[in-house]
Amino acid sequence: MLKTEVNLIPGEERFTQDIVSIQKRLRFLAIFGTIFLIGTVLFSFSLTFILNFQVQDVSRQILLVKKKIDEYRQREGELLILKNRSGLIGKILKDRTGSLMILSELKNESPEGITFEVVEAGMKGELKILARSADLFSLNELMNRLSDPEVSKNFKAIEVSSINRSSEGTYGFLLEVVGNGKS
Amino acid sequence: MERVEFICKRWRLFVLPLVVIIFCLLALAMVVLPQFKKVTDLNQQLKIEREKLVALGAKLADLEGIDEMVLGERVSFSLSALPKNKDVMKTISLFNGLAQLTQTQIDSLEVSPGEIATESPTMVDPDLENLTFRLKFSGENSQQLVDFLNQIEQSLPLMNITTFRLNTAGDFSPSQLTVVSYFSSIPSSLDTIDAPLKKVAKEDELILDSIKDYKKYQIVLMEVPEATGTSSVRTDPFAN
Repeated sequence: MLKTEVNLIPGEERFTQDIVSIQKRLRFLAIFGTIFLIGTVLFSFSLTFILNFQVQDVSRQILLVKKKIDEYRQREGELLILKNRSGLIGKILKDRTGSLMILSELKNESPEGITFEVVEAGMKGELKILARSADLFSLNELMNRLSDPEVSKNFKAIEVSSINRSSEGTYGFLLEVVGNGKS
Repeated sequence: MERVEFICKRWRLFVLPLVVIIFCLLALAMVVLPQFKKVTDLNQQLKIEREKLVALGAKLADLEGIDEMVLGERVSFSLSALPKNKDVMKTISLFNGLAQLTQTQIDSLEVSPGEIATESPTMVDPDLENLTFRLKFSGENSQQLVDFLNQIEQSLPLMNITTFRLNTAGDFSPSQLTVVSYFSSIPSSLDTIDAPLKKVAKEDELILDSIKDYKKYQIVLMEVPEATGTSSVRTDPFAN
């Protein structure tokens, strides 16, 4: 069934009631707005005040800590020197050719009859050794030892060449070795 | 017409609330919103300051935890390994000392010292500077010669042998070697207090440990014999 609204209040009276209703709403909005404004203003300003106080407190603590750190500036300076030095020392050690180590290893592997007469080391860790063997046996022994994978893994290249026999029965030869890299 | 008259008579009841509402809106926009923005900024600032405080606290704790004596010893050792100044005479004296130790003899020595050491008060020079020495030396047997080389590379200040030629053949020609000695000025300006602490890393400790057995020899400076002559005071030959 259709609902029908019938307003029995006359036109003028209805208009007056509408105007009064609007006035009441406006008044309500104004009061609500004022309370809301006061509330937010109080809240925001008090929050600002608290945060400001906290920031100042932390800044004060930072100043105190900085003052204490300032008393240790010499220690900090020494640490800086130590770090600087260790970095540079590492650079120097890395730059070593390793020739002495290679020579030491070759001497260790050389049997008794082998003598190194002239040893020449280059800047890239390469060694050229003019050596002499008392006999073929010692030379053979040296070459066997240098061929051993456990020994040869420490070198990039090993070459024995220019083997010659002297009138005294000794054998001169050229041993060329390149290390695996800088020490 | 009557309705308009009716509204006009009751204008205060409309205007006042409207003014209040407009004022509230303006106050919200011009006062409250900027204040909330300020609150956000203060929050951010507080967060940053707190982080800064934590970092500074950690730096202070690290500095307080360092043993000053140990640090001093390590610094002194590192400076003996890599000095800040060139010192040609000291290095030459060191070679002489090592030659005596290994019973070898230095036949000749060449060096190009370059510019005498200067230290800029503000410049930090991270690069290594060096001096190159060329020595001719001889010994009775190859072991003495090799010992001499080993002593050079295992003594302080640090030196690197770049090339050498050892001669133990019967022709008596001397052995030769090229040695590089190093120096570098120390950093003279510190970072700001806020900067994080430059701690010594494990790798740095390992590097220093690798040379801890290197020997620092007591260097006896070579004596230069006094010039012979009738007087030790030179007279001006052009004086009247």
